[in-house]
Amino acid sequence: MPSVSTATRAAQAADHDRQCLLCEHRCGVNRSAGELGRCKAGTEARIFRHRVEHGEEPQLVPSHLFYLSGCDLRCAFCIAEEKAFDPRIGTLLDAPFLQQAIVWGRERGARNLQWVGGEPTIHIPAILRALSGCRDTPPIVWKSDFHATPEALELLRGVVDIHVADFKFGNDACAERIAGVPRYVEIVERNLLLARESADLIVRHLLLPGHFECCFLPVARWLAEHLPEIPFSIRDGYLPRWQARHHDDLANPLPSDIGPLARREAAMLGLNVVG
Amino acid sequence: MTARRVSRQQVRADDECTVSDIRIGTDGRVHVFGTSREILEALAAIGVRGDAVRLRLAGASVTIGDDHSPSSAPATRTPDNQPS
Repeated sequence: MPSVSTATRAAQAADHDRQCLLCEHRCGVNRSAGELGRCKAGTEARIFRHRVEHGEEPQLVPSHLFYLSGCDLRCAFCIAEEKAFDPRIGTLLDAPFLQQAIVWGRERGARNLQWVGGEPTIHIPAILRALSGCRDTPPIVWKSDFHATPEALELLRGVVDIHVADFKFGNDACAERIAGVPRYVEIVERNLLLARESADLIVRHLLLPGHFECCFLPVARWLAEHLPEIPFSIRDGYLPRWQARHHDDLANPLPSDIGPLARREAAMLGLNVVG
Repeated sequence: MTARRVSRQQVRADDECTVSDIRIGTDGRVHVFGTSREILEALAAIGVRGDAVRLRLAGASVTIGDDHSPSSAPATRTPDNQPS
């Protein structure tokens, strides 16, 4: 159960509606005045899907996922496609909607409420406002690209019970080319260490075709050095979607032998591989 | 906002709640996005290889921090390149 009032956190988060520094693009725009930063999000958040799912890590299922439209990254392979990038899509998130949805999810056996996207970080103020108006909220799971600022992570301290971090790329060149984001590695690594201090943490890595040496291995080796005990979820179900066809390396499914190879490598490094 | 209006909004957001996306690769691997328990049970019934289905069907009894051995090559992937 969160130890800090979500109402308190919501009040603190409101500063970012006026000068948004939630993600490391640090646009600084006044979203309350209609200014749009890189993610194009306003002050409202919208849900394009919510449902109880069983495909998450075994520790989390059944999990009630809330998919928020809008994202600060532009990953070419995103399976949510335009829904991830257009924050105008979906049903308005507010407390009455969320309260009813929480009841709905609990009736279907959900053990937790999981914010996914798109990217939830860009909607922290709206999420906290909605949560602060709800009773009996379940444990909160925060599934994120971890491109947040430390200020944003601080707003989640005491509110989020479990962080699920997508550590997508093992080097800045791949991150820049595929997701359009600079300084990726240092930002994500910093945030993993910060998040670990305030909540449980699961690190997820989607294996990309042709990115075993440049992305998987650096991610696994860094985790082995800094966070060897945390659950490491290796996802090997990559399918080319969205703009992936424009990237030669991403245009095909992941070869079937890469998943087992990655799991063996991670085990040899002493990592706590899950799921 | 009235309860009726809230209910109608929820139905809109739930539109995709009743649909899961299953793709089967030419190599026989099954990719599932938006997995329900019923789908896991169906996949278990047809005997897909690997631990992915079994672990998730048993998921309700597992908690954070429990240790899992690395799974053998699963024939089922759930989910895939899910957005953050």
